[in-house]
Amino acid sequence: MEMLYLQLNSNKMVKNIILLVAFVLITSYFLPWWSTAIVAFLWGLIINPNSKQGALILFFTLFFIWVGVALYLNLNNNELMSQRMAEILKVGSPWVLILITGMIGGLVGLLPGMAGIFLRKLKN
Amino acid sequence: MIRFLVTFLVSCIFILFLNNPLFFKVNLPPFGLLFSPFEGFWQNAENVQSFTDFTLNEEGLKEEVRVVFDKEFVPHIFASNTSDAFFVQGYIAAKLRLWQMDIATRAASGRLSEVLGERTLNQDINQRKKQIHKAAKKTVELWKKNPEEYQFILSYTEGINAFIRNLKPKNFPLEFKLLGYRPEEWTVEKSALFFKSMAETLSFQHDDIPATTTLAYLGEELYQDLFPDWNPKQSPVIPNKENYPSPSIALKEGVQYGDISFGGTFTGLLPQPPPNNGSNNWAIGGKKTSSGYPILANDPHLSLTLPAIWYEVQIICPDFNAYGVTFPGIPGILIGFNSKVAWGVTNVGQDVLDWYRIQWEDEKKEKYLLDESWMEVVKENEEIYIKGKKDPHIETVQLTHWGPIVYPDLAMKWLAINTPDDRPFSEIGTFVKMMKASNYNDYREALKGFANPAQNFIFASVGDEISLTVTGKLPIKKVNQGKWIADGSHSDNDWKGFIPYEDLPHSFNPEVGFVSSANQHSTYPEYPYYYNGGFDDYRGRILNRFLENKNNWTVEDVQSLQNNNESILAEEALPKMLNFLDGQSMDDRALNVMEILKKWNYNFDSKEFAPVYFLEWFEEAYKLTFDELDRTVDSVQLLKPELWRFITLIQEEENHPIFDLEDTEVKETATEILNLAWKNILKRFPENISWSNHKQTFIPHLTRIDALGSKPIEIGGYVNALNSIKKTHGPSWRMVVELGPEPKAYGIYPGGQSGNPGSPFFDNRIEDWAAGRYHSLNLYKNFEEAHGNALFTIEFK
Repeated sequence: MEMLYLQLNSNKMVKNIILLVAFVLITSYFLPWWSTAIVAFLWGLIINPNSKQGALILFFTLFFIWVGVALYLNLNNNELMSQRMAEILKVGSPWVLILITGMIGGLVGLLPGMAGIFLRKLKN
Repeated sequence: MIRFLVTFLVSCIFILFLNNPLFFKVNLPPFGLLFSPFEGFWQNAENVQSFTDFTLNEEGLKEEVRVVFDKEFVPHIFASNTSDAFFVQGYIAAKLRLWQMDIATRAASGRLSEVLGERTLNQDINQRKKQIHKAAKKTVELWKKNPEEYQFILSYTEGINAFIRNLKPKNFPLEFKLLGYRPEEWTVEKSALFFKSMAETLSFQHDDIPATTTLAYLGEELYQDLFPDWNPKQSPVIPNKENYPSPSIALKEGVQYGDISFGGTFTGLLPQPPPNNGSNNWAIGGKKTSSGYPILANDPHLSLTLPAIWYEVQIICPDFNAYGVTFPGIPGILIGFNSKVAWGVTNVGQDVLDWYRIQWEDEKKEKYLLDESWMEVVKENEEIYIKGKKDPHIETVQLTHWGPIVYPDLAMKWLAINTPDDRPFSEIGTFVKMMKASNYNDYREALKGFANPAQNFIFASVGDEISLTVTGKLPIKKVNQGKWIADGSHSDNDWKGFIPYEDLPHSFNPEVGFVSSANQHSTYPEYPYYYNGGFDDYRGRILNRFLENKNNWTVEDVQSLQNNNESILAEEALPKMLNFLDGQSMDDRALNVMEILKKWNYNFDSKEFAPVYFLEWFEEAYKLTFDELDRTVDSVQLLKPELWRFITLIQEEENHPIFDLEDTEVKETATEILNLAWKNILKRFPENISWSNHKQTFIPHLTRIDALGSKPIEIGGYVNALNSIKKTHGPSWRMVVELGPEPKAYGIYPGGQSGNPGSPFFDNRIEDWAAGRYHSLNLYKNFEEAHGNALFTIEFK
């Protein structure tokens, strides 16, 4: 049943993910980093996906956006900054920094997003 | 309902947690802010793959300005008028080094705690007591008296602020993000603070208090014996006695033993700048160079830091075209050249900081005696704000006729905060005039405005003129005045004005064909004005020996002399020290070490073992010899004699009573001391260790965060060699300029142009600096020439 639902809605979900990505990128460029939390919250509230699917989308979309931007900057920088930061934070390698970046990004999407989803379900 | 409330609450806590500083063992910045790739440290990861030209619209400019960043990341500023040139220099300085500029001026003015919290409070209190911020305010007032020059500094300030205004939080330098604060507006006063901070670094050295305690402890005879004023072997900055002035105002009388104000307990003496702040400079006339053109060299020795203290810049406008280095925060060029002249500086080291004992009326300590009357102490409250606290710490500073009271009952008179304004002077004007200069007369005229810290200003011109002037405000003193604590109840104990500019020691095109300085005494004792201070003996002597003994100097020879590791101290001390050793009773290892030392050429090269054994042995013997002085009296650590005096004791007075160890029954002489020191050293160093591994030179970051500093550097050098490299201190800029039809100039400094740890230009020059290599300094004639070597260009419209 769930598989069927996913297939039926995949087109719509792709659009919703693209919507999330676009809003996160635009707000992140102009507003402080925590604006992403509000975007995720509103996304959950308005789009109203089912909880499991929403959780996966929120976490991984934000995870990959933060990792993606960090990776891009890191490559263009020949790892100069990440090497030093990895040493300052004593995490050993730039890859650990990228993973931490992704985890923080993922959680910044997941937690407020879920709050949004649950609020909508409450209203319904 | 519960699901929503729980996730909502967790989200809020999580976001707040990520947006606020964390307190573990160390303060960590807000993690969300730090890791967000849109805002945090990832944004400081500069693109190093490609550089693109860009255009900026700046309303503060009169005309268009273009800046070429060359492949070394050196900005070449092309402007149509001087004020635009300084505006853009300010903008570029901030672009390269904004955080460094911020933290340096905060440190100087005692405002670190605002951003770093309680841990820097003591440092801030000390700065407020020294009144450096007040002196900077006064300096600004003096600058205003010269409207043309003041306009330059205003333009520079506006340029810095234009950069700050355009700066988005995501582009703040990394250190602001790590320490969790924002850049604030630049002011003219902050540039003045930079000058005052340099004056502090170079003229705050003082030992009046321990000297007084030591004199009282040893008695006059032994004190004079161990602490003589002049090394007879010295080779002063200005040796040509025939040019010394014969003034009517020089004071003949001196301070007597009875005039000295003894007694008192001094806890918590202020930290002093590194004792080895110094430098070398020299200029060789065309007669002695292989090309026939004069060559000028300068290498200032300062604490080595990342970001580096200097940055390189070329500024071209209709008034001048000059290249050199300056501090971020100061407009113009401090050490540099144009197509006609080159100039540089070393510290003079004369004592311009004296202590006066205050005689209070009563226990309330509100009135003090000056001549016949009781004077009221002026009390001023200093507010020091502390990060995380609402109310500022209030520090009450007491001011007297002499200056601030820094220790109980002792007032400080210091030129850096007490500069007289009896002649129009401006430090900035001096350097702007040097940038415009084309001959000796221009140089002499430019120096008139320079007050403090006094510098040995070296000069060379295409006209084959070479010159050296001891430049600055130097007080007229009685003989021995300023060596010990003076009685503050007589205004007669004050300085008697300042040595007139024309009487300051200087030399121009001397017979010997060169001029040189390395922080040694300014003159021979025959110079009619008395002065005291902290002077070096050995670099000046070896420099003059090299310069005298060779002709046909080339640029490469001069470069290699800047990197020379040989020491006269070792050459004079070691053979005599070895003579004292009893070779009969030595084991194989001791004989082996002795062999290493005997074969040594007195060069402190990085891979050698001998420098370690020599220096440790020398220092151990010094410590054992002066064991009598290895103590504190009235909370003051006693002074120890200069190294040259120790060497003459070994050489000429091996039975001097000072060699006797206090703790033993027998009476030791130099023989016993040197053999005992030898045994101690062999025990301390069971294996050979190379000089660079022992010295462990590295360059720390200003925050002292290890990961932002350099790795250990394999490098030779020694404080008493021309290549004066210590653990974290040494040649902060090496420059060599040959003034032919086209100037040929070379330079290097340990660091890089960018202050961003995420830039390839942050520390890219350290390797070449360590290897003694140089980069060419290109004085481009026009934009097109510079553009050919451009990494990228910025157009200001």
